[in-house]
Amino acid sequence: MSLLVTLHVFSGRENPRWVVSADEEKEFRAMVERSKLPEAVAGSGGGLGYQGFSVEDTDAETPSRRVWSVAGAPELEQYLLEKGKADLEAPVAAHVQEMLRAGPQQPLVPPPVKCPPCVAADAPVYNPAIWNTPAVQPHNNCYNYANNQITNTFAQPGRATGHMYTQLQCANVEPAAHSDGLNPCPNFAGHLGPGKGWYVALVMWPNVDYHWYRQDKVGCWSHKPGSTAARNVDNSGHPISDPKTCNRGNYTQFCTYMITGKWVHIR
Amino acid sequence: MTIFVTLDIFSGRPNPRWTLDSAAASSLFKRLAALVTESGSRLEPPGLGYRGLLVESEDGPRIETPIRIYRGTVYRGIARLADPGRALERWLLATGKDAVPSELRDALRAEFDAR
Repeated sequence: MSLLVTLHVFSGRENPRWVVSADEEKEFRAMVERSKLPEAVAGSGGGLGYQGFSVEDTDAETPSRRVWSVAGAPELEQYLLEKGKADLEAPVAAHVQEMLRAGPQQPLVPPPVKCPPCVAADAPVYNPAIWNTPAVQPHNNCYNYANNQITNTFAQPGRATGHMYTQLQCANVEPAAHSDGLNPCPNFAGHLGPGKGWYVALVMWPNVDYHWYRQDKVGCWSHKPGSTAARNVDNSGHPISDPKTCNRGNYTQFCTYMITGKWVHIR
Repeated sequence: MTIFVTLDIFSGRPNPRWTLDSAAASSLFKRLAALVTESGSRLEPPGLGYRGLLVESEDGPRIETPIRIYRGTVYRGIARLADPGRALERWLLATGKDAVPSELRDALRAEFDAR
């Protein structure tokens, strides 16, 4: 078991995140019991500066992982700050400490996670367990995951057809994926019946790298950054209702939505 | 024994990976031996973007488990070592000058300086 802590403090940059150890996790759960903290779904409380912490149970394999929203609970907030302080930039730690000293904050009220409807009959179920294993995770990337195909080749758009991209630009990677059988589309609202595939999205860190997301049956999106674990949250730790608007770090350019399916061949 | 270094940063493309020559490998072990333990929780890298440098050996016992160096901390199994000023992280990145495009190295150095 491990718990992933997110300090909600930044607007533009990624919020700091860290993992608590098994021993610390026991302490945390005991404090949650004492403080009668409700379980909630993580999300930004809005506003600028310190907004609270969220704590996620990263081992749960369900689409909605257990998440606690921690604000307005001084003992817990101080505890979480102490555990992450060593890794925080000094001005950030000082800001959070000052806010805690000033008194309880308004409880972090996360917006309910509203996944958009999924209108693709073939959309995959979010099941990271099959991807996050030592035999699969290192050898399959975002393109494998979006297409829901484990090839163990770190698949590249266009490689299977001999039309691999030659530049890391939307205008170059999109046709390469098209040659594999994916088809561009303007949005993810059009109904796709059985055998017609599901929606994916291509984004770009211009001239450096590309990245893919896929829409799951539940309606929210998930992804697998490179050889890391598949996940259903963005770089801020928030569920992804639309890859066009989520926190994508350096992958600032949104290229297009596309439709993939079982007919697609990748390598 | 061959020491591999991986810049863990990409999602679609394979991460840049290179080997250390014997002099660089010796220097790495000396630098690691000089680091002191630190405590605290583990800082989790983001999904997208720079996730640190990984050091592995393919055919030798000196590195039993991959070492991750990220934002001034060296994670070696359950041990955690401080890398003041990110000196080791900077040095290790520089050893990959033939594998990491110069623009990316410059961008990373700027990121190191900013944090």
